[in-house]
Amino acid sequence: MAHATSSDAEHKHTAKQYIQIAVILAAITLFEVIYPYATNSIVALHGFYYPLLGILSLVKFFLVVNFYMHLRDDVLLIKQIFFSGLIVAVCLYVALYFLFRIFI
Amino acid sequence: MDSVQHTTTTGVDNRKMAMWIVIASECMLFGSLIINYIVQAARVMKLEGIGVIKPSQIINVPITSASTFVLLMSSVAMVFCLKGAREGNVKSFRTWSFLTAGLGAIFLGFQVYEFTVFYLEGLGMTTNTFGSAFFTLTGTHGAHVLVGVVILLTAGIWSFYKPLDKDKHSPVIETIGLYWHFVDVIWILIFTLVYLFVLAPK
Repeated sequence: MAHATSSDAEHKHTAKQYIQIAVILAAITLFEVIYPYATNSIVALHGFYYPLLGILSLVKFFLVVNFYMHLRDDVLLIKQIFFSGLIVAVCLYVALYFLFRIFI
Repeated sequence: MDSVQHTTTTGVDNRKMAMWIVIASECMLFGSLIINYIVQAARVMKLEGIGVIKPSQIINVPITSASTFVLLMSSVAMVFCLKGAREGNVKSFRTWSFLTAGLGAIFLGFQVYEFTVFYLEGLGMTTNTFGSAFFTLTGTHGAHVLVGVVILLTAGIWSFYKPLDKDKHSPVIETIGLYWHFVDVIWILIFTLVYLFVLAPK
């Protein structure tokens, strides 16, 4: 029984789209590097430090997973496998966070 | 039945399926290493006294930002490597696979430099629990990058000796690409949690 090794949707991504994603990733990384130094002088930004950097990190994570690893174009089974591992990792994180009640 | 048209009950190429299972298990591995680092770093941050090396004193964000950028760009190169393989363009495939491996090697160079600086400043694997957690986490990631570099170099060199068959070989390159992108996304999380979070304003 023959099966396609990758979905047709994967092939629809153009080089231009890949470059656009790369530019977005680079821009977010640049912002992440500047932001810690900027917050030191702007007290109003202190409260946003962890949430903002956490969200930006997740944005980069899912951009790579969805567009470069083509997860969004893949079959449901692949998504289930990936997210099962990710959910276990997040649960471990949350459990140990509450166990030690500690954060940087 | 050739290597492409193999039997599968899932509708997905078995090699690709296997790689996704590896990736899911690696999520758990790196998840545990990251939380271990956070716990140990937070404990060290609370310590007082002469000679206590704290993460915020030793971590060099500008250097790591450069290495992060290099690794992100290697993911872009990997995408074009796979594109070349899918189009059956051996020259493009070879160029991008060597470029991806080269960027991975540069990342490893940054890591070796960072480890050397840390060691010279007094932070080793056995200095304290923060040191152990830091070197275990970043060292494990570095080992994954090294494996990826070796695989990509092997694929690139192999293309000199065997003709590139886009139908037969692109699924294999896709599997290598999945591994490489995963190494990249894990570093995205490590960069934020290990390097940027310790710079939080107090």
